[in-house]
Amino acid sequence: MSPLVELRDLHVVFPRRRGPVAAVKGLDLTIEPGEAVGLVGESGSGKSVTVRTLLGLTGRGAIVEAERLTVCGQDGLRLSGRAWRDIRGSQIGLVLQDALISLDPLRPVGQEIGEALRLHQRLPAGRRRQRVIELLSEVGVPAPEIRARQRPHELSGGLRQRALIASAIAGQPALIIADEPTTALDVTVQAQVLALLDARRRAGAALLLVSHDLAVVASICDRVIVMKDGAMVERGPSRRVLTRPSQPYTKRLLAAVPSAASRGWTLSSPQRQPLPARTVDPAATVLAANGLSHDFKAPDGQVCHAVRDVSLRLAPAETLGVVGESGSGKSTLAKILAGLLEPSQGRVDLDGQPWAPASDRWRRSRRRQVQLIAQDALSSFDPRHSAAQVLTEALRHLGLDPAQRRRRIASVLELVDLSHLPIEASPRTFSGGERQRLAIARALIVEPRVLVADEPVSALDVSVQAQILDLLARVQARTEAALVFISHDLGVVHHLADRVVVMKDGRAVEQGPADQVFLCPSHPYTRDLVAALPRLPEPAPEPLASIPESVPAPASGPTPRPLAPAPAPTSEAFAETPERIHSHV
Amino acid sequence: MTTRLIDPALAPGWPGAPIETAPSAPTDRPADLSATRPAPASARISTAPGDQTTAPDLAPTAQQRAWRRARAASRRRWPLGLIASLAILSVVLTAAFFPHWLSQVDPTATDLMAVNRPPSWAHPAGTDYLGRDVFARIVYGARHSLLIGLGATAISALIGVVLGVLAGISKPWVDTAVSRFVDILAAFPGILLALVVIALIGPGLVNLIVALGVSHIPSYARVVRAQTGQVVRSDYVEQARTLGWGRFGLTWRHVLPNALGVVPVLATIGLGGAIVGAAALSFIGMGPQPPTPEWGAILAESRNYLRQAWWTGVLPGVALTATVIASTVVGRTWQASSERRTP
Amino acid sequence: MVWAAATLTFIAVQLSPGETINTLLGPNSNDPVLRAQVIQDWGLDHPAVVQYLLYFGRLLRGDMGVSYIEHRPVSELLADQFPATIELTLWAAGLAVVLAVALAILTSRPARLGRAVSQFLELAVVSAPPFWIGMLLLAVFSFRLGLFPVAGTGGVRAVVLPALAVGLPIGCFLAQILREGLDRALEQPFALTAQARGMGLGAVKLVHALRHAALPALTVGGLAVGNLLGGAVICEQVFGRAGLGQLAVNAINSKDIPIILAIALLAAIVFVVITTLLDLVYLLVDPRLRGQSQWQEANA
Repeated sequence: MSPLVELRDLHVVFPRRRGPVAAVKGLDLTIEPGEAVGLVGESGSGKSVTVRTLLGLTGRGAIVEAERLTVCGQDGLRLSGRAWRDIRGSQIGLVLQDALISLDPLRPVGQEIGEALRLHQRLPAGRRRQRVIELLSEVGVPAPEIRARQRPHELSGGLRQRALIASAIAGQPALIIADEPTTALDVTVQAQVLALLDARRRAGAALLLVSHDLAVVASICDRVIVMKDGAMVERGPSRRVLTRPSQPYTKRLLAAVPSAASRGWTLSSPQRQPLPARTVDPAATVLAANGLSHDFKAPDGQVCHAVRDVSLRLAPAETLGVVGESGSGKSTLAKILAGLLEPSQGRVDLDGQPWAPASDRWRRSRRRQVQLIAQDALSSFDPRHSAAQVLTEALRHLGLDPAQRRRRIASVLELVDLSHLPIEASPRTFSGGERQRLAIARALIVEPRVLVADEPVSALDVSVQAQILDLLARVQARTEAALVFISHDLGVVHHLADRVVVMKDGRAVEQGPADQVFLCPSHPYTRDLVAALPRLPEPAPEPLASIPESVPAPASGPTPRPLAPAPAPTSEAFAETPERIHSHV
Repeated sequence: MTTRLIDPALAPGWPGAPIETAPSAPTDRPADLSATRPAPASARISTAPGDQTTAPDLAPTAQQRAWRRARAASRRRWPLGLIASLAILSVVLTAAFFPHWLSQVDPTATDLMAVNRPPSWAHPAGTDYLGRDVFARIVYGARHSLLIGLGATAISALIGVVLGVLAGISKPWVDTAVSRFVDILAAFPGILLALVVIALIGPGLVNLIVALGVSHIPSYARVVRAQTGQVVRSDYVEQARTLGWGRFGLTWRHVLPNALGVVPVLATIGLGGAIVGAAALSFIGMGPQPPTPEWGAILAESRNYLRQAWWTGVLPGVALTATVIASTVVGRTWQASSERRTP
Repeated sequence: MVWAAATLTFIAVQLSPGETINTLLGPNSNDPVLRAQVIQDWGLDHPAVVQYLLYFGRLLRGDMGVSYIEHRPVSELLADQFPATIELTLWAAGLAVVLAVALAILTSRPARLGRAVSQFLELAVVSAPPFWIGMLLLAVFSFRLGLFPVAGTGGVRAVVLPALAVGLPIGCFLAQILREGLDRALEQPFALTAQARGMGLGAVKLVHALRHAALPALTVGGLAVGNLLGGAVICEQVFGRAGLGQLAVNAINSKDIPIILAIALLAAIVFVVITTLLDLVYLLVDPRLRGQSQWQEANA
């Protein structure tokens, strides 16, 4: 049997005003009928462009060249628009990330599936409606007659993703391409969608699964291709690649995945090092919340309980993880703790003094004690401000003279490894990791006692995430600030947190030491969460083992930009950092 | 995902391209990828045992073909529209401030021996029904049209900004009151609102400016209110609150500079609309009275002579339209570039 | 909303310079009989609150006052002229919508050359004053080619050129917005999904993208209504058509304030009615908002 897809030396280039930009650089890819291939890479690796090229939908102005581009037995470089349309939907089906926007939000999902049928099969209208219902029940949508008449926004995330899959398989394609099909989904729903895709494959369809998440790919793919910057880095059977990677990049990628095994160790280099130790005095309390609730009125007049009766306690230098799926109230909790939202009931005490509810005037002088780190760092910077202004603004109320300010800024930049940064530039010109570092620097510069980090690494690639997580652990050990770390990602929280709060529908359903909560959960919801988590195949890459032949030391170090010349910070500022920050705590 | 995609420095291996170091580019790409010469695919790809591919090392490779086509397609184009628009605007401004540089003829001098003459060397745009030089009238008319447009824009922008900021930063009931008022104002179609104002205060140059200014208030007020609200709710204002900034400090440091950045852009685009509105009002006799040269008035006078002398009706209109197009193009280009700067 | 507009006109009259009675009477202010009648009609010898209630009570009965120059009730004068203006605006609106949709579909991405040409022409038409477009149309089609009558109100042929003059700018304006909306919708993932199903680009535009593009166009619909009415008023002058525009200009020239106020009020009513209708259409096009439609009550 001939392969469904055969790519040889694929190049995709986008003409841009400042000169052409290569998205894919010499990729080879073969997909045999019935096999599941995973395409893994971080953002900018060219994986999405590649799958769009397989459908002849690379995008406006894209230039596609290859030694061979065979799709379903036809030469993709010479196909007419008409011929491409015959292939799409009937030979290859596409499943994109978020069905809320990947299905037409203005039309009922049944119509979308029906459209796929109408394009490739001659069926009378009545038979077609019936087939839509069949397809919906095939993908596990309950009450398909009702669901078919609903629009994506009326369905839950899992159901609409299933509807999207139904529309992709309506033409019974021999190949299903799934581009980050579970990225926007909660972990329990993600497991169901992956199982559904796996079932389609067992029914005979080939699958090309594109993801940034190694564990997702590992769970259902036979073969894996790791991409970086438009080129392939490594390929092979998924078990072999994920357990015994041969390329440094793959090793680094695997090592960067936070998990139970990585607790207490750095993530940003394949050779793990122990994280600096913290001493937490469990008897002391810096922040205590009692019976917090927050209600608000939805636009339709209903009262919505975002947070219900949550109590928690935070010791100095402690890391408290808050996990929960979307809508569990974790961000509302973060805002209450940061003093940005008044609780409807309950109270928060900071160092034994009331913190919320409190009048803004009363709170203002102590505001800097609690600092917020947001998910999207860029939007937390005034778009008109340079990096220097961002930091100076934070210092405005501390009454320092200019020389002191400069020293403080230099030392905090040193702390977050940003000393080489052009500080007069706008944060817009920085990379995602640098922006998040700057946000952390701004939070640290006022020497807070508590850091509230709301999904601080969710928007980052896994290798950048690893650097930021290492950084957070490091600065926390230095400054002894307590950290509330809010995340939907169980692995990240397990890696970082001392204690964990599990939230669902506004309630804290379980609370306890991280290992206890994740390894022997007591609440059924926590058990579901942990069970649904996709895992890398065991044995995981040895966290401790140094693999001597595979350590090209300078390239894989934890510093983000070894290319930039190391800056020369004033030795005074450098020496000053830890003591000074300590002295204020 | 796309920001990385378009980063040119992520493509180090292509022939003839400038090699820069990207600030965000991770640096550990496999060593064999950094060769500047395009290597055959198989050489750059580390494959698992038994998964070897072979590609002949023959020119031109797919890579070379792709880059040849891409370079041809990404040639930089001149922003001709913008350049032409700026040129037009500078001519109009010259006409408004130094009309004698462009035409030495008196725009109100009549010559009954040469009425309705077609364009010639002596009269580049012909003469009108009183034998006045149309070109001179167009040139001298620029001052009045531009003055009315600028004045009206200034009035509407100023009042609109005050109302918009007030609504955007105040308590909900103030917001509601101001927004309602603006809604009511907006319910009267612009020209009719201006007509009502003129009916109440009488025609004339200043009154025309006031009338037009009032009729354009809602568009500024609405945009400014929306912008202000957006900034007030933004992450960076929230962040500044955690740093201990109070209401006044936040408004002064963050809200006003960010919310009012759009106003000059809006005003540039709105200037065109104000000029057209002025022309329309003076076309129906509500503006400066004859023989003052003003574009709308000139067009009104020429209406009855279209059959005999088309140039008197067409050429002033061309000048007017070109001015409006130019200010719109400049405003939109400005808008696009400022939108690109703020995510 | 209409109530508020009426109130605003009342306040405007009160605030206008000079005595209210002189404002209302215009040039006839020396006629003692009329003076007495106006004082009685408007209750000018009573405090402002009473005047306001009187004024409003009359409005509710459909009485918009009397033109003291024409010596006829304003409502009668309006009823005479309104149909001609409605005829013109309906033709213009229909033309504008058809033109906008056709242009937007034909010149949205990936069209190249036609797109640039069309964009420039649209910009030119939007930027040109509608009355000048009317003059150009007259010069070409009536004077040169003799295809359409120069002036007049009767018949379909008489309405073609004025409708073009009013409808072209609005059509081009809407085309710009629709095309931007189409371009944006085609970049959305659902457009990619639809194409990946095997749908042609044209079909994706018609079936999926156009509906999304219509949303911003409907939002600015109110603005277009204003332009439509304003354009009609001015263009009636160019083509010598009877209608509200003629009435308004004559009224202003003779300082016939009651007529002007009535016309402005009528325009505001039309505007409010049409924007409310557009809001309903919006809900039809975008069912996502159906659950949460209280915000509309503000317009009722």
